[in-house]
Amino acid sequence: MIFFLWMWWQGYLTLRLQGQGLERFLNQVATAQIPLWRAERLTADVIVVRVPVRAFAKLRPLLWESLIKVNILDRHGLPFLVSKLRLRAFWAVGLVLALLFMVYLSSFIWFVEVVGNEQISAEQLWEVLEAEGLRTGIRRQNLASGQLETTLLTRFPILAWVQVSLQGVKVVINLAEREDLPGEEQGPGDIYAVVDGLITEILVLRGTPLVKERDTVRTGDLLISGDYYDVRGRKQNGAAQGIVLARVWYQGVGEAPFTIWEPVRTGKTHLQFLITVGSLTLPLGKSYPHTTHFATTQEWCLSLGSAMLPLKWTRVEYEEVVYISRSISLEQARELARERAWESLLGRGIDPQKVQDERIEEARLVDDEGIHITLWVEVEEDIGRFVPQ
Amino acid sequence: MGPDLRQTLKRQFSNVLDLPPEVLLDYATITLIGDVEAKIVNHKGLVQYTTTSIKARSLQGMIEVVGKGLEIVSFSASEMKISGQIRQVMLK
Repeated sequence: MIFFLWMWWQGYLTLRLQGQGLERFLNQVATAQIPLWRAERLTADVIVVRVPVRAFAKLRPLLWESLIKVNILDRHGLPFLVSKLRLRAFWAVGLVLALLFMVYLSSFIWFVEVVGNEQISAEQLWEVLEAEGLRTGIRRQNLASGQLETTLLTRFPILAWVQVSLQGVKVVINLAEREDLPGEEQGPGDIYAVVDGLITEILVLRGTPLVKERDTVRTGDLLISGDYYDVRGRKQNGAAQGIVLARVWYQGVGEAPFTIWEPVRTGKTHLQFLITVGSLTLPLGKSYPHTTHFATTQEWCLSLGSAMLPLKWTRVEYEEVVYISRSISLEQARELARERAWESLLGRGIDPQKVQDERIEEARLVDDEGIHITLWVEVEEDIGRFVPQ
Repeated sequence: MGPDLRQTLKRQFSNVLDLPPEVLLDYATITLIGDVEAKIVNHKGLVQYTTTSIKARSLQGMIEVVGKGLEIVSFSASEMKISGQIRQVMLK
């Protein structure tokens, strides 16, 4: 390997030797102290050998004396590479400059991403971040993460935790906001029912309960009043605090036809490429609607080591699909309708783990081409919500 | 002093002084690495080169390496390295 690297550094030639008495000629070459390597016998009168470029001059007198014909098949090594690059000087300089420019660009911050803010608006955050000198276009080394974290925690007391991290040319600010306990630091107010339900348990931390267990309440009923009497018997108006657990019924509806349409791939595919530079996206190729094509997307982000550059290459493969109809059994339709009914319940925030009872009502659709399912689920949950006075 | 007597004296001299015989006697050395590489040191010239047989001259006779896909990896006045699938090495 070291020998090969040394020869590459010096430059070497691949020669095609043709004629009779090649072995004798090789002996003469070796006697003249010309190193040879990788001598390949191609035919009875042809050998391909490698010799250092400097030794070629010493080879010529031997060739004149013999009947061997020589052709230079290829030139390898650094001297030839340098001479090629000289011919394409602008190209080489352009490549080096482009690389340097990319390295230079990667020393700046191009993106700022904030994760985890729910109560603090983006505008409020930006105001503080800009005042601290964080904006796109500043040098990466000028980012003072620790100072920025301290400032954000000081300016926004609602923040429990802040982490500022640098990912290539992107600054990611992770936030965690405090979750206030119910009734804490609130003004006077009462707790009302947010849904209808049958009360199973009531725990009053502050205030006066106006309902008891096994009571049926409707939405908007007052559950715990903020009024209470202190030790001296005086009526006080405070913030009600407590938990009111109740059995609540939720209704979900789902329908399923006896004939469903299934997508089948036709085998036709189309490719589209997207080049994204910063916020600018340049599509190469046509895009297809999602109703007739499935799309598979792959993304590559250009990066230099850990530094991420604002350049992205996306490959989108569209697979054409046609929809064919298929009849399904009553049992399958029932299961599908039930799944859809559950989806509607999940969409309303019902936790399946808390479901204590479930009831299903089934009916055929008017045209008898499908099934309609009404699903009632019973959950036990806190139905109280604090409403300030 | 004939060449045979000179060789005998050199051999005895080498034995007495415990010197490597290939140095004093100009012996060819053949080194085999498995069946993929052969190195011939102190050869006296290439005689025949094909992809199935390579013959080199030495003071002890003709060295022949037989095999398949033979190739001379490096070649100088005293040393030759052969690669390929080596089947036989003969001294004739």
